[in-house]
Amino acid sequence: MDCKKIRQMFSDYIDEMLEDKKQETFKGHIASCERCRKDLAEYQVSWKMLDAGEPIEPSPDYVSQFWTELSRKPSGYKVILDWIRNILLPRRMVYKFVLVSATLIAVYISVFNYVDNSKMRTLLINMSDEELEMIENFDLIANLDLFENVNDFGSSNNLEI
Amino acid sequence: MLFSHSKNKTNSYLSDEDVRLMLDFKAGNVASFEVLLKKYFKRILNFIFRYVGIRSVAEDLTQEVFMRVYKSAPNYLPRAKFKTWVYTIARNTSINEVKRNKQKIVSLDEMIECEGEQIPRQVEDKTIDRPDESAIRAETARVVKKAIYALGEKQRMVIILRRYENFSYQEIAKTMKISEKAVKSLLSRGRENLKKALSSFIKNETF
Repeated sequence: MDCKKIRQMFSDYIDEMLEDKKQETFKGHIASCERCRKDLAEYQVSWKMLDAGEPIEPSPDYVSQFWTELSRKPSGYKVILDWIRNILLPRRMVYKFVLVSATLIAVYISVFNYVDNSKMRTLLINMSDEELEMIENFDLIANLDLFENVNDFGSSNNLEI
Repeated sequence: MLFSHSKNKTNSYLSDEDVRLMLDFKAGNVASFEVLLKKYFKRILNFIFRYVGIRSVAEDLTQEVFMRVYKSAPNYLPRAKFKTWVYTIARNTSINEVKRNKQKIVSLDEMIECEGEQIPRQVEDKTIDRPDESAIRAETARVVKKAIYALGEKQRMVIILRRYENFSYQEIAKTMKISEKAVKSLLSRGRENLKKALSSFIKNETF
């Protein structure tokens, strides 16, 4: 086994996670390769060095500090943030997905309607008074066309309406 | 099926004593919460301190973590061991803090604790034949802290959970919401980077 593969096994070796067969190969290589042996020694020493520095102690009154902090009234935005976090944001992924999808659809529909209405307003602004009147009386005009068609039919067949 | 809640999964965590304490607190017993607070406070404090590097920040964040634990009680459902859950909250809180304050670095002027004493981080360079052992230890602690803080955020988190909190690969994977394979990879790269960062110090002290 080459040195590169052996070095990739250092971490598992330190954690005693190497399978028996691999461990044999690993130890065999380390015994015969000075470079890997030195590297492994440095690896182990650097890992051991993490012991340096004592853990810190909490302040003696941390429990009472906690209860004091808890009893303090939170600022406005924190109350809103907590409300959003606890009520509106569901825990399970599938509910989050549904909420996000529904929000996106609602935003899309709103934007679409807004754009549509904007286009309509632009169109209406640029129309003449005559054209506007035609639109307002659209139903009448539609029926008028029908009426004229029927009249033409009647006159060609000598029918009176 | 997508929306159904798996009762079997919840029940498997009831064997965890801390989960039972949390459920007891949910039912109204505040004393159970205080047991959890006293059991985990120092551990979470040190976990966060090793991650963010500044004691005052770590103390504030630890309080915040337990505030969240306290306020989660009404909606609490055991979906993991309590230890995994509380460390996940601590992890998320620490990451958010680091993101909010990206400029924050380990203060070299900060006092560090060594053998029960507060020692300035910057140790005087004394030209004496036998250097004070506590000074060497303090300097080692400073160098180690700097090396850990120089790691990428995920590598740092994995190293801290493995080395200082003695989390198994599985526990790390659940806390960080990654696969065990990813944990192994991050651990391997983190250790390699630590070795590189500490190699000159190791050579000066030992070879």
